[in-house]
Amino acid sequence: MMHHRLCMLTMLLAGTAGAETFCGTGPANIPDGTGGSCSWTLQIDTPAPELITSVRVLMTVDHPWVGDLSCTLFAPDGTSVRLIDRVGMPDSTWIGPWGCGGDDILCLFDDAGSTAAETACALDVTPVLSGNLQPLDSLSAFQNRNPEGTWTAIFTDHSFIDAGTISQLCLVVESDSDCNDNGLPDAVDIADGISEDTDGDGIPDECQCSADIDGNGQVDVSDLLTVIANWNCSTGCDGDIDGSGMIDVTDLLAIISSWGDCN
Amino acid sequence: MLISTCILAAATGLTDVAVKHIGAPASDLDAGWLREADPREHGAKAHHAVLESTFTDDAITFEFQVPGTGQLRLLPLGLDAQNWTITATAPDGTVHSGRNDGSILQRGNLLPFGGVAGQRLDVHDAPGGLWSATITGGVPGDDISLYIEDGSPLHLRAWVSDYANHVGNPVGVHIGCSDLMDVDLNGVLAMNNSFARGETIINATALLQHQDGRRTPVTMQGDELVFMAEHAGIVTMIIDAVIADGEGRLLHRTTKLPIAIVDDVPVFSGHADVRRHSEQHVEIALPLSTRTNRDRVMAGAEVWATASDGHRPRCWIGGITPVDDDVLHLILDTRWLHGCEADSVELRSVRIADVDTFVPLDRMASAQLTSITVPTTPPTAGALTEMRMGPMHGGRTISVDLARHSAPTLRSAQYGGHNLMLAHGYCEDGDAWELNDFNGDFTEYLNLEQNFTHDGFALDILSFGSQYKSYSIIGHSQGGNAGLHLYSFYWSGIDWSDGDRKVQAVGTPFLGTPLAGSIADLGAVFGIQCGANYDMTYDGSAQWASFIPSWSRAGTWVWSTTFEDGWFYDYCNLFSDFLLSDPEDGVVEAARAHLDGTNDMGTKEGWCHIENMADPAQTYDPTRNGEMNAEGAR
Repeated sequence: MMHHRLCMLTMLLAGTAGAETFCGTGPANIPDGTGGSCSWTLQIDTPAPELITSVRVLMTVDHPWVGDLSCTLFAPDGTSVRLIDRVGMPDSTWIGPWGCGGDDILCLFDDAGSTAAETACALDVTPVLSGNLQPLDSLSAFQNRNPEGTWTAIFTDHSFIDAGTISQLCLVVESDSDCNDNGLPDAVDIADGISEDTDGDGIPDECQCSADIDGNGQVDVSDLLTVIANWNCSTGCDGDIDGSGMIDVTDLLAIISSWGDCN
Repeated sequence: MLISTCILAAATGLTDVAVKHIGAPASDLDAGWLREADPREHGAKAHHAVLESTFTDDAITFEFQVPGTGQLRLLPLGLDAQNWTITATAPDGTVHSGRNDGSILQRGNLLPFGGVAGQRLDVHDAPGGLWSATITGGVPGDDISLYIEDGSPLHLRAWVSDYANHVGNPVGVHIGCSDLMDVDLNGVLAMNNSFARGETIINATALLQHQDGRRTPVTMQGDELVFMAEHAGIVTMIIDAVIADGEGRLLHRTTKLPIAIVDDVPVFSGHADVRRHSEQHVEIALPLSTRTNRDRVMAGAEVWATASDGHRPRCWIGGITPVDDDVLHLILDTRWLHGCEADSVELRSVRIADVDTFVPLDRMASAQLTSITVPTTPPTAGALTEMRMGPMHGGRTISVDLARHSAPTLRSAQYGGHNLMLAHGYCEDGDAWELNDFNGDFTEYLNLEQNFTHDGFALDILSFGSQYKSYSIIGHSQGGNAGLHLYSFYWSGIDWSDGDRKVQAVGTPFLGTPLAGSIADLGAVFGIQCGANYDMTYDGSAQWASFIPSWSRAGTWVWSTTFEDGWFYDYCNLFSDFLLSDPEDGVVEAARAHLDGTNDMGTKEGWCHIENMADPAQTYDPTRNGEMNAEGAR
């Protein structure tokens, strides 16, 4: 069984290169039918401001009646997405008032999933929710939000008698840098002309300390002396801060205007 | 409070109920299971006679022919039968009254549903010739029916020319003789064999009994008895005949043939339109050329296609099919057609029928299907359930009032739990099952003194069962029919139950019982209020079973019982013994309690259908109940 699950996880996570996976923790048991809930949390720390481009959710739950369950995922800023809400009920077709009676969840919630989770129920299939499934609400609600912080997933079992456990909840997050923390990806800032990218490295100039020639975190005398030492040099010398091909007064003024700590 | 609130919610208003879009393999057709029933193979079959009259004073005498081939049995039936006495006089003047005179009197309950005492005079080695029977102790004005069984295996059979009997059209009925060995043979073939033995109907009279009790004569036109269908409902053709057997001996037979007549008959327009329903399914629209008030019909069609093994059936599709704006929509899982040529797909033997009586409404020989993409690879084993039952989501629904006639009864069952559901049968008046034989989670369906069609019964169980997440059915008598009907045609908690035994049926007339058509007569005499039930007649059962696929049959376990064949009695019930062929349980003949493709658990002696019969009620067998309790899906 464990081997099978590992294979399934490997398949589900295929094609997620470039994404980072963050797994959460929480109590295994989902309170049965009490209306009470069970929270799983996971922490995402980023070294610099980022904006989410996509989120997928990997979930493993053992439960003999998946139609009992709902699960809502909350981002650190409070944005919420319902992944499932009592699969199979309500539905345009009446398969009974108790929703999907299948066992277990082992799936990747993904807006690009082949099937809606709410209608993925089928007889004689275990886990009944498996593969890549579309969540009830679109995970695009998390786009362009900072992933940094504590994420929470609330699991609720709405009906007595059948109880289950959670064994895994992971977020697969892809994000863009937002170095100026203006709520837009750096690439958008540059493309829309909001930011300059003088050196064409994809990082807005305001996020870079280009006058810190020696990279010691400060624009100081050392950098000034480098400019003076290479004055009028036009063949790849250090100190061409503006990228003009010539070390000249513009570079000197950049040193002066940026003088001090880069931060 | 939660329970009552939810039940109330379920009991009000209409609910969309999802139907199963049935797919069945071609092997079901090869087995003959999903082909339209042939009326010549069913109909009514009687090896007894019924003479009816009314007391004008305290005694009445009947005369009748006896062939002299065995025991003569005479049973007077009437409201005051327990106070009557009966004597029989042989052609030579010998009088038999059950007192050491070559005859005995059997006493017992007259009704298969208990309560009314009566007697039967059995004359051993009755000689042939004209006999008389005198019943005394009657009250002037009281009706009396004398049931006569003369020991000859010769049956009088009657069958309709066509089950498609519609208001405003003539209805034809054939009659013929049949020996016991041919009793299940095609009636025409049996009749030919009978002719070959020299058996001849000397004369026959026919009456049509209408639902309001009127009786009108029916005349022979050509080789058929013909009457005009005036109203929708169930009428009964009563045919009385004097027959000469192969030796020229005369005997008397009476047979009663219930006939279902429907109105509001939709007609196919003659073509079929295909559109994509999902990746694996196409929806086949069958427009009707007439408007109908029907919201659903029973439908069925063979799907033929060409592959390397030729042009042949690939599957059967059908089930209860909603009618939307005068169009039927069948759903075909294209995985049944893997490897076939896409442009060769056609429907054949398309039929629609009334959901309550299964009377055919219209037929279409064939319809070409275009625009179907056929998969080239075989389906996986995991696809089979969906191929058989159709898509659980996005399929068709019917709107049903699931309000029940009586309050649900909770026993050890938990609301929202997983249960065995014990279901009683037709016209039950109390607990059918010995509840002490069951433990764990189980519940008892009770809706007493009802006369449901199979479809109505199934939907009533669906309504009751909606308080549980999952259940399987342990059905007694018609409860078994209803369970199999529900499992076959509707999504329900049965589908979610864990275990193989979805339906366990005891004493269920899967192939019908002659009592079903006689109940109306008994009701007229004894005031039984539930009335006749067409679905449990031989004809109704055959028509119903022609829509039951192999996969639901395979989920059904079936038991029958019969009386202990002792020296003192060889029946479960005095009266029904006349109508039933042994072995039987007093209501259902064992041979007709088993349906091909189900799991046949055999016939057990010493148990009768219900209480107040010669042996204990079959629902009180602790051994079987224990097994069903342990093995039933929950």
